[in-house]
Amino acid sequence: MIFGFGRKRKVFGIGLDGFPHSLARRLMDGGHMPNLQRLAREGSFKRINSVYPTVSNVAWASFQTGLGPGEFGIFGFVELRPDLDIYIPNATDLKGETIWQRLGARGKKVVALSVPMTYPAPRVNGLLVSGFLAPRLDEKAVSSPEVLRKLRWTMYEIDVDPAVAHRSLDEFQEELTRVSTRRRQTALELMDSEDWDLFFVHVMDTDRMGHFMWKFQHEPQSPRGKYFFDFFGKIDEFIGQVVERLDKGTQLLILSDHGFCDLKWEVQLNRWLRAEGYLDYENDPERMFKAVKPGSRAVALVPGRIYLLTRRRCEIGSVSEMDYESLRAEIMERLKELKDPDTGEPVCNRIMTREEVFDGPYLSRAPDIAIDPRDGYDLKAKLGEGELFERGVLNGMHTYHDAMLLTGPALADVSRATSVTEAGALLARHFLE
Amino acid sequence: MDRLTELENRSIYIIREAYHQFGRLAALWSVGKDSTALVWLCKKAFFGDVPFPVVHIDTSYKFPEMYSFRDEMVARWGLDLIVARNEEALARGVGPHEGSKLNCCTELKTNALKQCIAEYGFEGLLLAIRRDEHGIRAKERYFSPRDRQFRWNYEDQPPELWDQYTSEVDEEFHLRVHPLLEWRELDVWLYVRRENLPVNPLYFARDGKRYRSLGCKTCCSPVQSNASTVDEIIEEIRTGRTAERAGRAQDKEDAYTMQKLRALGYM
Repeated sequence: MIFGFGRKRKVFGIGLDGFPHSLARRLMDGGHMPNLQRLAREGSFKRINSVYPTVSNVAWASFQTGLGPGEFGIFGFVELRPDLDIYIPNATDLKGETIWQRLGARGKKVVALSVPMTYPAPRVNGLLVSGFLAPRLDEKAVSSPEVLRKLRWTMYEIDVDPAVAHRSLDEFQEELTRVSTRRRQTALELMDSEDWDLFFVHVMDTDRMGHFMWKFQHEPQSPRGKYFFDFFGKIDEFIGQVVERLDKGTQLLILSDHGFCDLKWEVQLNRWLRAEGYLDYENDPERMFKAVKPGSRAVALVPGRIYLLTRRRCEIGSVSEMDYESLRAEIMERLKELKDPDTGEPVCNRIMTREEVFDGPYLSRAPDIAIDPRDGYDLKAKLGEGELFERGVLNGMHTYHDAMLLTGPALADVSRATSVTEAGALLARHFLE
Repeated sequence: MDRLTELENRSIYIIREAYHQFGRLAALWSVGKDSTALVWLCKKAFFGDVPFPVVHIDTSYKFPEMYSFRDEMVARWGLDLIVARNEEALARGVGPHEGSKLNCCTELKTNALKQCIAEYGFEGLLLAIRRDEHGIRAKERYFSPRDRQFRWNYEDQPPELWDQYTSEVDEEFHLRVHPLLEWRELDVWLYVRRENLPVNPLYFARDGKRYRSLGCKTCCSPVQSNASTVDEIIEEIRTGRTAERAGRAQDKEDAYTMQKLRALGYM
């Protein structure tokens, strides 16, 4: 082989949404994930960071582009327009070239199954099926219409309906098992039938477990606890099936985009802003941010994003350029005093200005304040009357610092990554350099 | 480099090329968003002062807002403004209500410009046309020659390979230079936002309508829109394709997505 000519660089990637490094460790030690354990020993297995704001669409956008939110212009599932109407960004709002496009331009074939922030599905050199938040499996959610035909064989579904978990956890388990099994089956089918240099399957199901069933790992003998461990056992089986099918030159990469931890409180930041006198709104949650009254100076979006209502940013904005810095500093200072009602522990871990966290051409769309909460305090953004500290159906919450990355021995270049963003950037570089 | 910066760099390069090639150069300025962006690029190309005149072809039928915007900008940016009016035709009563609209355009625009070129001896003209405006413009080059009759022989224009712009042509011709050729409508608005450029208020929606492009009052009609800020116009253009589809399908899609986000606690 001369200068690597003809060298195989095929990579099979598995994205386990919200699968924490610490949980992976515990499951391996407990014998629940023997395949993962073997791979971790043979290759590199490490903790990496997520992104701020720590939500899946931002994290996977970051992975796909190798860029930060300030560079691709998306900071959460929901963004605000100048008239305080909300919009939900999709792949057409994503600035920056994705790994699928970059590899395709170099003649590499890709298969991308179910990755968030790929809807509407772009054309790729290969095959792409949109992930979360594609509303339904139709022509807009696939890179070309014939893909739909292939997916019919495995009865592929995009995602579970999370509303089911609010009604009944039994039904939710049923649905999750079905959707996840079909997803894994589809990945195995496509792995064999398609021609690819990079195959990447994203598994949203692990994140859904985290949100609705996280607490049951603490009661392993209960039926729900058993379901929890069995579920990850199935994921491990899938990893084993993938490895079995890989030819010798193909490398494996498994990563998650954020961690999970026990949720103690949902902290409703807009109610805090209201109590502190920075925000006022009509008690009309249906209207969402349209209910915000003129004179308000700040609003919060999930997760932990605070936006000052400047004259420049928003139609009813009242904060002038001159008052901006002092107002921001004041809110940041007061956030330090936001404490757990029972224990008195502070809610915020890091309170950051946008300049500290973000950089790039879309900096002006970034939240003015970005908060990384302490584990247990999920920063939410409900409006309307209600408590500042709430509890609901959700019992797990995202963490920034506990994502994982596992790479095969010949992916040493990618194993250097310390974040989801870097993992994406280095993976692209692995193919292109 | 981001797309806007790349477009800006290329446009400035072409403007400077044109300035060095032509003894007498002018920029056509319709007072609309594209040509205002062009004038801004000219300012940037020469560090603040545009070293050649800007020509406004005045049919006398423009919107009052356009005249006031023009005069305000001339003062603000220190522009050397030439107003090109076909006074002779106006005296004859030529206008949109007399005869054909094509004749009105020929007299009050084309001929007004011809007279202006003859009077000032311009050899090159900078125009803010974009390739995505009309099908025919797909054949335009950065440097497109026109003869004295303003005929454009697009089959025989000199080739442009890489960035070799052939700017020497027969004396009979004047050259049209198109620094914004590769810009799209969206790029112009993104640039307006990035550079914080003043824009004519007519572009913003009032009572559910706004002007998407500006010309003579008599021959322009507004489009349905609620976009009342630059950000909203950008959003409108960006989502234009979906907006054309049945509104109901889109609403359904959004409702579904929101319900899902709510169940996950993201709303």
